Amino acid sequence: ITLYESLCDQAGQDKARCLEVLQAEPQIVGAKDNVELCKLILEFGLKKGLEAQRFLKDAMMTTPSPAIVQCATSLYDGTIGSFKSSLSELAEDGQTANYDAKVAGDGPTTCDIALSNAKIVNPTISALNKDILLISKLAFLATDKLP
Amino acid sequence: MGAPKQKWTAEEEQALKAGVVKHGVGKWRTILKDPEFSGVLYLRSNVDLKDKWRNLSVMANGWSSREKSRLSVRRVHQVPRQDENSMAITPVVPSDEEIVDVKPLQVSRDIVHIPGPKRSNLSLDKLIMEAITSLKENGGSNKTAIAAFIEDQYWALPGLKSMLSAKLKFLTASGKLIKVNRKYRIAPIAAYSDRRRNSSMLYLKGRQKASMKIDRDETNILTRSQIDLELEKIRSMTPQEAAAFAARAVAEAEAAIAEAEEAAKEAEAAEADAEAAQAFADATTKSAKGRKSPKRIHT
Repeated sequence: ITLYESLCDQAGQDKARCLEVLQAEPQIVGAKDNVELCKLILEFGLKKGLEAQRFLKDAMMTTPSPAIVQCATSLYDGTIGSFKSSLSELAEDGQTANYDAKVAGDGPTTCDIALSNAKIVNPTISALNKDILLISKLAFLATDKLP
Repeated sequence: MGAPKQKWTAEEEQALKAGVVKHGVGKWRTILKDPEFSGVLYLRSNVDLKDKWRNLSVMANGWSSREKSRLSVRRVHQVPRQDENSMAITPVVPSDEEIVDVKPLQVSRDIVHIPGPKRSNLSLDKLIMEAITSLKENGGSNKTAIAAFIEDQYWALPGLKSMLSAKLKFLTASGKLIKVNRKYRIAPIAAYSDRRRNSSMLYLKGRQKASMKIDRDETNILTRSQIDLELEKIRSMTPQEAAAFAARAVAEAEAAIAEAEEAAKEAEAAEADAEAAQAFADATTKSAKGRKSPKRIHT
């Protein structure tokens, strides 16, 4: 059993989606040790966060809503910042990296709430939020093994 | 951490803020080792400090106490349904209590519909700071670029140009912005501090470190840090100094708001002081960048 499959086993209800998402990332599939796995998942989260932010900034142009503006700016800035911070702490402080990996998920969570309060239904944004929250969870589980 | 939760006391919170002023954001281990703070923060880990600082920043960043409470309630309802959310959610009760402790800044994020003058001013402050931060132009941004950014990002606001002119003048007069050759950039230190040469050097160092370490929403965190800096400075004053300081602050605010001409004069003085401060900050930055040793000694 590979490292990423073992990680997905810990993801509970998200196991199936975890396998689906990570199988598409050859580097993650081939990770040789846990530190490498952590690094690759955090980089994946950072990449996905930047993609989501770009989509949200485009959405701001077609849907003039303060909730989308909030998602595209402060909330996803926070998520991207957390993934970056976690990456930078991997070698120095496992506990801080673990904390940052977890709070990266606050951005999509709060974004979902803001959109819901504004009664905005956008399946693409919801899917992006869900996947990034999942990656944050996986990064948290992986970094939990760090010394 | 496996340790049980302990509510942050006012003393601990104050020590954390003072530690950030002294050592900078992100220097959690350094703060914990400093004898000035270790006596108060001995039960806290570096992650505890980071978490508390983040909570303070989040509330300074735009969630009013009412919005935060509403969010907290909704989060409770969502917990049983989505396992995913449980990973991200902070316990609600401590958050509610922390709201009372922290006295968050009332900053509105309702950009499109700006109800009243006060909220409008607050929002415009944030928009201007965000524009300058995002544009990242060398030497700052001019009024046209700032207006274009705001319109691109947040849709045209009625009377934006005239509001922007007045607001830029006010921010320059109050020391939050520096104006050079019709370009505006975010001031490295509050204007009031510049009036005390010796202390401004010390605060400038602390502020510079804070600026260098922040890698998230810099503008919002700086806003909070700025206020903390002012509060810390006031706390270290004698009663007479504090009274004089407060009187000066009030006088300056009144002048800036009531009389454009007097505000312009204040702006000129603030600009000259800020130029000197900026030169010092630049020197500090170069000095800091030159250090390659992992062991940094903060004098």
